[in-house]
Amino acid sequence: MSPDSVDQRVVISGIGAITPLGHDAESSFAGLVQGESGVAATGFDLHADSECRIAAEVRNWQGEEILGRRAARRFSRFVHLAVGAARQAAADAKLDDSGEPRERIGVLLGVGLGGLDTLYDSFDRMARGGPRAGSPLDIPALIPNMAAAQVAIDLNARGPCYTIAASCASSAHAIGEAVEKLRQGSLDQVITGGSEAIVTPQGLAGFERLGALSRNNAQPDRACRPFDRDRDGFVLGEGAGVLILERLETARGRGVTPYAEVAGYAATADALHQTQPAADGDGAARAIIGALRAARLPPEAIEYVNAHGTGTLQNDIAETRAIKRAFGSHAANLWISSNKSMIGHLIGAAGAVELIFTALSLKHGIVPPTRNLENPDPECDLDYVPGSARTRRISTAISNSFGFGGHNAVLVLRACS
Amino acid sequence: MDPEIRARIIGVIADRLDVRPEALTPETSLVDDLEADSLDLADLALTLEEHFAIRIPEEDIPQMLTIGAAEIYLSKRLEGHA
Repeated sequence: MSPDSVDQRVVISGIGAITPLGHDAESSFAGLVQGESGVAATGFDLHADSECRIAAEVRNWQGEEILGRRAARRFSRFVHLAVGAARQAAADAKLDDSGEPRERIGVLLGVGLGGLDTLYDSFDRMARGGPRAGSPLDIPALIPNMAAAQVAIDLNARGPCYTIAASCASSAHAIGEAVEKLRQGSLDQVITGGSEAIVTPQGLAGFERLGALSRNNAQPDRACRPFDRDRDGFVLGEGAGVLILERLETARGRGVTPYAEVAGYAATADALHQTQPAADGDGAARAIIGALRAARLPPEAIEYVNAHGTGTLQNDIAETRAIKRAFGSHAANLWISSNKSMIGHLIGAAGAVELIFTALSLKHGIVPPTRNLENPDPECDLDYVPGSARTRRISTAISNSFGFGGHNAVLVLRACS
Repeated sequence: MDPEIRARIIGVIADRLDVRPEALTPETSLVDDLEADSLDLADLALTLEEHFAIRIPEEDIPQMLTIGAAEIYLSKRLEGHA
């Protein structure tokens, strides 16, 4: 069956997000459009030697509020965030009223690391008190698959349920694989996306030691500067983004208006280095080209690129080269922007949250800016929408996600006519 | 029975299972009334162990499935009779 047939078109019928800019998708997007920053000094104490003292935390949001104190204690924060975002998405897609058999709903999430909060707390307790200071709740709380498992339990979704780990591209891979699963026809909906909550002293220290984080502690809101010549790394963030995907005909049958069609997906590996992206953007470019091919769209059809745009020295140059390789002369016409300049890097959740924002750009006809892009790096010479948001009706966009390990995933969105 | 021990047990169980201490009586069943599962029971045993500074072997957990039974078990253990 051709992907153009209605049966094979997969759409986004519900979205949910909890981010450093808001506790739902629309309020987070409104903050992005205003150019607000979710980056600030950490809300917890750090060792005097810590060189990075800023992060993009989800503030004033506790899992206890949605799960209750007893249930919340059994899970790491990334699970809380996943359940919160999944409930929003399910309500938005009107899944609760569907009466559809739950055996035909799958859960496929992306998580980069999992419950570092619980892991380090457990290590601390056992270092002081020996093995009996460990809790029976520790392992079930922190394993990376527990977000998907608990979303399945919470929403009684009884189809396939598992987790993809591909570092900072985890949830983009999960969404792409969810699309392919839906095209196989054995499921009606897939609850997909990702979650991450590793903003802890140890999580920050780990990325800081890698030299990946900005150290602009004096000006947190100016720290993440994608494509700017003065950029010095990304800002660690946390949050979750969950989408309900289904075939267009299923959504129409339920009377749900989709946000957009996920028209194409491709994933590649650089197969080159543990942490460095391919300098020439080869793997990323192949993912873009593959995703366009899967969507049966020529490069010239794309209007907007929601960039991976981390604000590290290497990523922004490699991504710019990848865009040029994939789009040729059309690269100069593209609007490109980085949400990470405002929400930080949500690691395993980044691809999902950014795809949700891309869908809202299509819905509202607004492209959020790249904040803090004041003096472009000479090697980053495309249109990254600096300064303020731009308004234009957009019908096609891509979202890029790349991760440590050389993982590249690209998703294509097309407006539903 | 030592009322202080009872109060301390009730305090731990109320905190871990997130229930009001006033709602707990000697007859309250951890599994049937408070819906504790195997993870909750293991967590409770370790918390009580820490709280009372004794070791509670896993195989003793079935002796502590109501508030009253937990009180009897812990009182004996604290007296060194167990």
